[in-house]
Amino acid sequence: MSRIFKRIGILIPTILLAFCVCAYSAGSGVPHTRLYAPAGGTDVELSSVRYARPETDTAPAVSPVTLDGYEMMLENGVLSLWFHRQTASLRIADGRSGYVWGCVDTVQPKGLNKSWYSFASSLLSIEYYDEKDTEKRAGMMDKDTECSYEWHSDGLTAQVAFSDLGISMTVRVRLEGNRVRVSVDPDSFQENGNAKIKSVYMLPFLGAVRENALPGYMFIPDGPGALIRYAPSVNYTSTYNKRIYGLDMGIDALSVPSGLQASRGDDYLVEEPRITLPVFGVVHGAYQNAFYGEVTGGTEYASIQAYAAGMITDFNWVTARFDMRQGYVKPINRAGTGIYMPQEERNTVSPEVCYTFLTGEDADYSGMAVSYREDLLQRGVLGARQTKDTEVPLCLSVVGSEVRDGFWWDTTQTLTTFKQAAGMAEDLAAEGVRRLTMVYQGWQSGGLSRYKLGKTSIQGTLGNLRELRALRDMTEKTGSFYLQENIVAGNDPQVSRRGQAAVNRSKAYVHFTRNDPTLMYKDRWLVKPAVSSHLLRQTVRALPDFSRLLPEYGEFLYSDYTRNGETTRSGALRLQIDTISGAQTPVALTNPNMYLWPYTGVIFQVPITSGQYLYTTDTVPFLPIVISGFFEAYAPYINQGLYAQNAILRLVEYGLYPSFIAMGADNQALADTPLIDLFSIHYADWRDRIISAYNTVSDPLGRIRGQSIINHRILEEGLARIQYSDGVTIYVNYNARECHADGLIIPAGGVAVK
Amino acid sequence: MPRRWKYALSACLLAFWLVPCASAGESTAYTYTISVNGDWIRTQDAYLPGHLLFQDGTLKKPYDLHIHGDCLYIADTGNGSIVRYDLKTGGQIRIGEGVLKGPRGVFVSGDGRCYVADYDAECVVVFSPLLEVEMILSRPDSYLFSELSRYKPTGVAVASSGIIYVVGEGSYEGIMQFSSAGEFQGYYAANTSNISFLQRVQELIFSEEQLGRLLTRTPRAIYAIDIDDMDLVFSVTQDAAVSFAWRDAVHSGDNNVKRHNYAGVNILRKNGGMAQEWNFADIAVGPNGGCYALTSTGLINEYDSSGNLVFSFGGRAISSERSGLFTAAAAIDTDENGYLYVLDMERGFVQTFYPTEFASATNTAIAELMRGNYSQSEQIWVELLRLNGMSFLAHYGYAKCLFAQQRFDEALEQFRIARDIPGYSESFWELRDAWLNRWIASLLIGLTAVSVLYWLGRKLYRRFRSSPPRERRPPGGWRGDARLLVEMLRHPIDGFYYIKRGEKGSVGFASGLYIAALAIWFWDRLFRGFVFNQANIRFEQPLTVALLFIIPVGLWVTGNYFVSSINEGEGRFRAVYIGTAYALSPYIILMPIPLLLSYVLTLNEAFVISFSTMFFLVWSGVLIFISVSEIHNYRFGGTVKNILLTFFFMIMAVVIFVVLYLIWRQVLTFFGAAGGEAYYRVTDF
Repeated sequence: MSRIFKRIGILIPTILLAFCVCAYSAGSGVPHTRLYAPAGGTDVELSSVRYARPETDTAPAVSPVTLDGYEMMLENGVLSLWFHRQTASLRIADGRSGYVWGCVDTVQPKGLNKSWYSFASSLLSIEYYDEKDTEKRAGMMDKDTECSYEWHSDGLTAQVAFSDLGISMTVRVRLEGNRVRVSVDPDSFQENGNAKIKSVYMLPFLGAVRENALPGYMFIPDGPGALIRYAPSVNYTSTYNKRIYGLDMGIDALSVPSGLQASRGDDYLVEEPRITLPVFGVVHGAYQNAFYGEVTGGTEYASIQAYAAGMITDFNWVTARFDMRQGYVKPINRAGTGIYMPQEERNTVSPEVCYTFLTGEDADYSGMAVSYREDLLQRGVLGARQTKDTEVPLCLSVVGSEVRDGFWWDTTQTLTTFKQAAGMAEDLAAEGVRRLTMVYQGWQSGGLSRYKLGKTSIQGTLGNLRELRALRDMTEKTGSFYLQENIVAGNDPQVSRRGQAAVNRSKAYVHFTRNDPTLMYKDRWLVKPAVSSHLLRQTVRALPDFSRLLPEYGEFLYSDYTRNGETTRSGALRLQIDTISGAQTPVALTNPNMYLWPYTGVIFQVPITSGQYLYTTDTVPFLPIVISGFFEAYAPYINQGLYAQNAILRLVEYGLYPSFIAMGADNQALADTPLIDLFSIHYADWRDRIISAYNTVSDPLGRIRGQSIINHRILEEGLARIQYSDGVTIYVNYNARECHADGLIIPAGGVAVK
Repeated sequence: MPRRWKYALSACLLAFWLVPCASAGESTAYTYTISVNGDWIRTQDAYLPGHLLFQDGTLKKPYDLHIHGDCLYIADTGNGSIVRYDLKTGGQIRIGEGVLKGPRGVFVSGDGRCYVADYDAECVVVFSPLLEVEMILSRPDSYLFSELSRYKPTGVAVASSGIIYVVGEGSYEGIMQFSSAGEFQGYYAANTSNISFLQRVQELIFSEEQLGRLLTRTPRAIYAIDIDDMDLVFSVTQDAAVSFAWRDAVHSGDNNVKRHNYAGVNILRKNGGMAQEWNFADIAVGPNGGCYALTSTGLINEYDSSGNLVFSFGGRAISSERSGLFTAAAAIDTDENGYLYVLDMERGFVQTFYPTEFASATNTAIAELMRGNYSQSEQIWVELLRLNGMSFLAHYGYAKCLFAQQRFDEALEQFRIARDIPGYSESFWELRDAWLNRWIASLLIGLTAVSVLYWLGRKLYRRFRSSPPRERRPPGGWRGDARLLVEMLRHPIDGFYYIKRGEKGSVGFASGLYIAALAIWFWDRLFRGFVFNQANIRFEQPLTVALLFIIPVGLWVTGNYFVSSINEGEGRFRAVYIGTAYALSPYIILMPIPLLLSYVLTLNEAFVISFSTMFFLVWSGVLIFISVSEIHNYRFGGTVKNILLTFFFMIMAVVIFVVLYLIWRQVLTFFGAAGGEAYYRVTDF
């Protein structure tokens, strides 16, 4: 035995010596050399769809339609209604400008076949399923359509019967000041044949323009707002066709082809923005003639469709479509095999669109937004105006803890303790951020992606309830504090599928899937609308003294087809309103649909980028104009791609407050957690940029707190002028050169306030 | 290499939704880079889509674009001409109308000559700076150009010396090289062909006729090329058999993006590990030598000059048309501002991209590092780490900076985070070198002093001990078992003999040995020193690691017993169990030495680790051989036979298990489906 130890005793020094010799004899490497590509300028950037363009074509717009052959039926001093009995089409003449609005020519236009002509010129057009469930289209001009008209002092009532289909309904047109309201009486729908009504259009081609026959654009509520300027026909392969308030996950088809065919996942697309405002618009010559249509009835079953010239026809047209039925896959077995067929029963829809006509300086997207805001104010949708002080808030969303994929088992990774969060608040206050809005997420036991929805026990490694309350009290002295709580969707460990997950019409649990095999949780399950309400009540009862941020609530509106407990989309909408209005604590939401606006004063994640479709030409701040002055509205997290100077300037242009997501731990702590996509949220890394961004926006935004935008205009490429209700004007210059406007010099990449 | 390679996705239509998430850059598709774990990871937007060109439908099935000065040249294949578009004025003219039939490649040399690869006319047409036809390179009439070779030009690039490089469809011999006078000079930079093991066997046993019927084994033809200021040619190659089998095609061993030196040899990540795709359609050299590779599905990968992936962005237009996405991307080029121009063949438009501050900073940091401006470069890397703390490139670049500044301890940490073993090893070497320089004298003196003291102590103890040494009796119990373990290293034949007779060794101690071997197996597989640790604990399942040990050992012990019991073997199961455990003694006792050394050695001394590991494993193997021989009392031939039969048993056991498993799974699936259907019919959902 001792000999062995002796040999080992000799062996070890020998090995040691050998490796010393090796170590001395070996050399170390030389760093590689690499090449690089230089930075770009801003000219390509400013002409992209993410910016608005100046109005260069100011030629007078000549209406593409005339009143020839039309008979004036009504007039109210502002607008007059004209009617053409043979084509069943309306003209609207604006008495203030003499401009005539209509659908298409009385003579069948070139490029429209008979069916499309009938569809385009009619006051009411429908789509229906025939006896073979094939989708077809019919208009009032069709030979089998029987119409009777009755004119009143304020409008028209038309009985429309598609006699060969057995479908009939009553359409009403009312003249109200500068508005025309068109609706279908919901009780008047009759289906006496084999055909089943699918959808209804009212004045679909109102304001349609052939190619670029006149200057102007269509407005669509895509993200903050987007324009489709009139241009020659282009062979697009898709149109703008989006449901108001987003997809109904309870019935809408969810299949999207995955075709990246790459070594990384297919979850590479940035989500397309939803429609949160039920409006669309048409401009014939900027600052000359415009109207916007608001879907005021049947909103949750309506879609907004915009066709740029070249898509089917040579016309640019935008309209709302109301779906009475839609197709879905009816399952025939558990495996999900099914047949595609239309809904058996009709949705309860009362279609109504209100068109508001604008002239002169108001006739652009900005005028539309201002007019729409005033209308919402009158209807009580917009609540109290924000306080007019100069303290600009800054949102810091703090991530407390997150689940970590472990070698033996999953653990909870502590990212920010309550004390660390308090330290961040103190640090920012010392740097001049006096009004901090702190959102605390991932405070629940188990971490952000693992806590059971509805649970309110605190992750012990963050601190205790007393410390959390101390953090809240400290923040609320000058700012506000929200506990973030998801009551809409959760990962596998968070949701009990059988009891909580919503079920779609095809009898499958409703879920999002990210097509990426390396993710920790690929699926997220949406909970039943009623369960969401229950979860909120449950958690507020447990922690009643905290304000809540409810991400995704009011973003998704979906029906639930749980057997014996179905909730329609309308029912879900009412439930959301009741839940939020009845919450026993202040509630903030993330970019909610418009119907929840009256119940919150704080909105996070207001979009600043549109879907950037090829047919859109500009991104405009329609949504920011509408909410300006009435909401404490925050932009998406700046440290997730929006930290560049021009993105910060966008906040000033749109009047949105800055928002950051942060944690106390080092970025390495994100590894092996579902938060890996956030890649950089370490507070110390972002501290200087937070303060810098805040200092950039705090002066201009401080001067317009509580004020509303009354005009937004692009003076030249990259130079925006925003006028506020109290007379303050802000100029934002995105150019890499200084600009001059209204006697002011606006520095390159800077802001000027007058 | 990105881990996701292993999870190549299905190309069929999959039902999925885009998950709403809070992060919102300005682009329509996320930008990715490689994380410190080797995965794809999202990062800040690197390039954002700018405006669109040619949205008016001017172009018809265009295949290629090239930028020269302020002009954009587009091979408008469908219209049989080249479009020259002035990026400043927007003016455009057509070149080669009536001359060209189907131009698929275009290049403009420094002297303003325009070279067009005409696929349909099977020639390369050279236009003078005045846009007149100057030369036509038809099919070469040269002994260097085989009659069987195809001549269907699809791309062209010209060196500053006037040498014309032409790629063509099916030109697997390589890039065709012409002199400035149009004389064919031979091929350049051919791809190599990978021959699988099966193919080698086929070549040995098949007749020529049979071989002729097999699929071609010619190498892949280069798909597109570009040339940089130093006349180095960049090329992309698509994987063979692409259409539906792209998942398999991804696993091609060769690089698909290459940078060729003057001899045609690839100098870009020759050892593999390149983050690449199977369907690259074009490649462009950036203004400073960076390279952008474009896939037909619209992905744009930026690589640095070493072949490291910098960014990957863009993507395919799926179900909607959005800026920055492509239906069928065909060509890419850059201008002197660093803007990218990407051609969509299907839609006939050109999408521009411009670099964000993030991309510009990254490229500047790389450039400063290359120039040796380490302090400037370091500042930018630190800033980039703030913007994406998980990026491999940022940690790697920062580590390189620190290393060059001889801040080895910080560089070590950064290389460790980036999981860059060569860099870590070099930094560790430097640190260890410094440590040794400081302590080697003391260490050697100390060792010598300890040895001398030990020797003296022993001598003195023996001389002055009060009583004579007790006669040692062999210890019993676990001590005896432990002693046997050491004895095995010296006298294995005796050891196994005692085990066979049941005189030494116990089942309990042997079980402990198995557990110890399993622990060392875990250590070896997962917890070696960083330099020698190939495992990424994130992806290792403890159960899998354990089963890789337990199943072979378990099958060996049972198999060996069963086989020997029907082959006149004398050993009982107990002896086989204990004997196998003791046969592992070199692995158990000595393997910790290289494992411990793995914490202090660097790649320069990797031989010490690999050799000693192999040596101890072979030693254990020899002991197993002896154990079989001794325990069952076989001669050499019988032992070999027994071992082979045991291996056969092990293989058959696995095969039978797999077959049974598959059958039972079918049965269970059937009952599960039937039950589920019944449940679905009768219960509420």
